[in-house]
Amino acid sequence: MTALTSAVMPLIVARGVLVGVGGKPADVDTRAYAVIWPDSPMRDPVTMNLTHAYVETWTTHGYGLSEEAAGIARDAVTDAVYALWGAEVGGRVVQYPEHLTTLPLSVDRDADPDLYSYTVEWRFRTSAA
Amino acid sequence: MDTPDSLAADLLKAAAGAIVVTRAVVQKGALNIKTDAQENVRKSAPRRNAHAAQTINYDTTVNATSIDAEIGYDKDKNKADGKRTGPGGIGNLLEFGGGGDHSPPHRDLGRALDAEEPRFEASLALAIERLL
Repeated sequence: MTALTSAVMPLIVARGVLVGVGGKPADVDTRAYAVIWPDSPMRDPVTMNLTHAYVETWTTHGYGLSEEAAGIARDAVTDAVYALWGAEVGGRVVQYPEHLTTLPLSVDRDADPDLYSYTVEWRFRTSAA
Repeated sequence: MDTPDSLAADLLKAAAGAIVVTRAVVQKGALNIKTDAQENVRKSAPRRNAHAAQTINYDTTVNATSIDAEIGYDKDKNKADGKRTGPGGIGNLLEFGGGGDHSPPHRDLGRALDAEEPRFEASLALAIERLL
């Protein structure tokens, strides 16, 4: 877990969606949920200043038992991610989140029942507060 | 000393050469990403990768106003008879993870792209500078 994932988790839960980092959250039952897979933050090579930008990339999955439910999870993550903009997290300011990739709806027919998911990639830059 | 006419001639010459050098930079960048991504796959999934790394390739396209490179898994490469996809078919799962078993994303291509970005920018700036 990173400082950013710790900051975003309550924002997602506040939108009624359970969330786990690196795995499925507990007590999901039939509810929509999200999973965040963060990369370790890296210093942005565009600057030599150690206090300047750090970059962190996430792959997020929004899961649900229907397309609508997966969309609810995806939208909760999206809203929460943008809510981080300008926030101070761990002594650093979050720059405007960058929406990297969105994959089409996916369905796992081997799961019982079928499990729908949306995959979205995000990139964050933080700078010294 | 430059005159307006010689400057205009230099700019026209540079404009004509821009496509050639930019295409070379884009192709080299695409090759670097492909090679790095293949190495990333071998590191992040040393087993059970179904030789997917061998199916990563790239295409470049030159249009009047843009030069594009598309790098990714070729799902039809090395496809066996009767199979829906070749080894590259698992590329989506390797790159983005997901599914009912909550596989982790490896971002093998994404990390290769991240690593190439500053090199690409520097190479492009140098190539354009040499034209002028």
